[in-house]
Amino acid sequence: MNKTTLNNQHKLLNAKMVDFANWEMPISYPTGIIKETLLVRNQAGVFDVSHMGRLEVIGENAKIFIETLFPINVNELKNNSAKYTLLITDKGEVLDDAIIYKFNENKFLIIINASRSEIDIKWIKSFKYKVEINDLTNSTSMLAVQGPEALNIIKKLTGNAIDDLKRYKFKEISIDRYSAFVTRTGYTGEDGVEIITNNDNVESLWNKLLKNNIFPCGLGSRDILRLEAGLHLYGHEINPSSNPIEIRLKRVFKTTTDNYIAKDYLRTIMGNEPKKIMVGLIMKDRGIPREDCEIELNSEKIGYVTSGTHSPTINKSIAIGIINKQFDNVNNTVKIKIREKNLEANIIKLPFYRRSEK
Amino acid sequence: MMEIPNELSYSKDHEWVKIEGNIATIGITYHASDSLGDVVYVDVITSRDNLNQFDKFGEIESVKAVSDLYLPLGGKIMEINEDLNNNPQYINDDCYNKGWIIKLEVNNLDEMKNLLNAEEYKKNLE
Repeated sequence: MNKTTLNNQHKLLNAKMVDFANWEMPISYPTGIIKETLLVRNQAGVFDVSHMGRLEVIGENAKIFIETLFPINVNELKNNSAKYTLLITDKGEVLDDAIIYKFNENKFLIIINASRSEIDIKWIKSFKYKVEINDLTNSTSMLAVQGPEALNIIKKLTGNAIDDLKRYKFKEISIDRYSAFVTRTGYTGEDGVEIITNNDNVESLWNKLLKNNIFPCGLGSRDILRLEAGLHLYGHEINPSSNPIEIRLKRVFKTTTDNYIAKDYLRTIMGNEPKKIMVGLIMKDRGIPREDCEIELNSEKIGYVTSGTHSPTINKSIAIGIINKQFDNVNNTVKIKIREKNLEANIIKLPFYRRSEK
Repeated sequence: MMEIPNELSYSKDHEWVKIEGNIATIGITYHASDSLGDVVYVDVITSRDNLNQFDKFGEIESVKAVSDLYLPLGGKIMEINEDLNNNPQYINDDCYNKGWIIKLEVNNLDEMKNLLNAEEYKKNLE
């Protein structure tokens, strides 16, 4: 099994370790998943997300390479900016969701899911453009620092180097004389940053964060936080056969170019009214909906749950599901089949949680 | 917290039992609560009379998983810990005291012979 550089630090903190996409990762620390979730909502938490795939693309052909593989117009993406996107084949198979970081026209960073990295890399490398593709996953580490206090603490620790950093922008700065890539992005619904640095520096950075009132949080709380924020997870809301419109990701295709490999497929799905739609569900009864639970309306199956959990933030059990589009109405009360019981839930407009802007 | 208190009896399904007269107080062990993670719901079945030893008497649901609860002794459920409705975290924070789940009127104390003492339960975990 793969281990991140911080593996030993997690064990020193008595984290519960689990196999996640063949990486030994902390699911929670002794604090527990619920308290970790609330620490990120109310203060600041740090997640080791070094298992996520990091690919650097460099070269004169990098622009056309990115525009071929992703629904992105590189000219419309400013330097030092990030964009959430999907990796889709010419046949319309959704391989992954990803974040693309543009340094300039000749240099990009692609962040992909650990669980999909092998498949993604195989697809990406099948394009014979003259670009250099460097897999930085094993040579670098990545931390996500999230929560209402996160930005202020990081600003203080970096000598105000990121004071002007806007959402979805990134900057290369130095922390204690080593260089770090800091991006104002995240996967929790909170403000904060993600930091990539060389493996040599990450232990010192990790301990520095913990000493400054940033709490270590595991993948268990990260999953709850993303679900509360209505964010997709590959393998749950997104699958190889997903229709991006049905899962409310139409926005991803705003700036597609003629270079895009899936442009014909895109034209087909854009021209057709989707039959299904992704919705939020809040339980009225006691019980946590889990993946694959059936959703019923008037005893008829109308969909299924893609992710479910108990939300500590709103203190209710919640789920994301995909249902037949004609039933997408926030006034609908549906039944979710949880083990042998049919429990009541309300359809809501996602997300379950939205932070208040300062 | 003592992880396996000496004065209690245990089932292999990770329930603990404390006997006072013919009343048994029942909960889940530290080992069980730790494996489940943060508990969110505890549900006890509604037909509560004439239950046999090792019958299912409810479900306990954590953020990550659901687990069935089994009666370490046969009998009749007399009382349910209503505090758990609003404070399910008692199961994680204090499973042997505030985190008790039911009080049972025991049919036959001889069934205790099918349970483990602290030392046997500890060995069973290894």
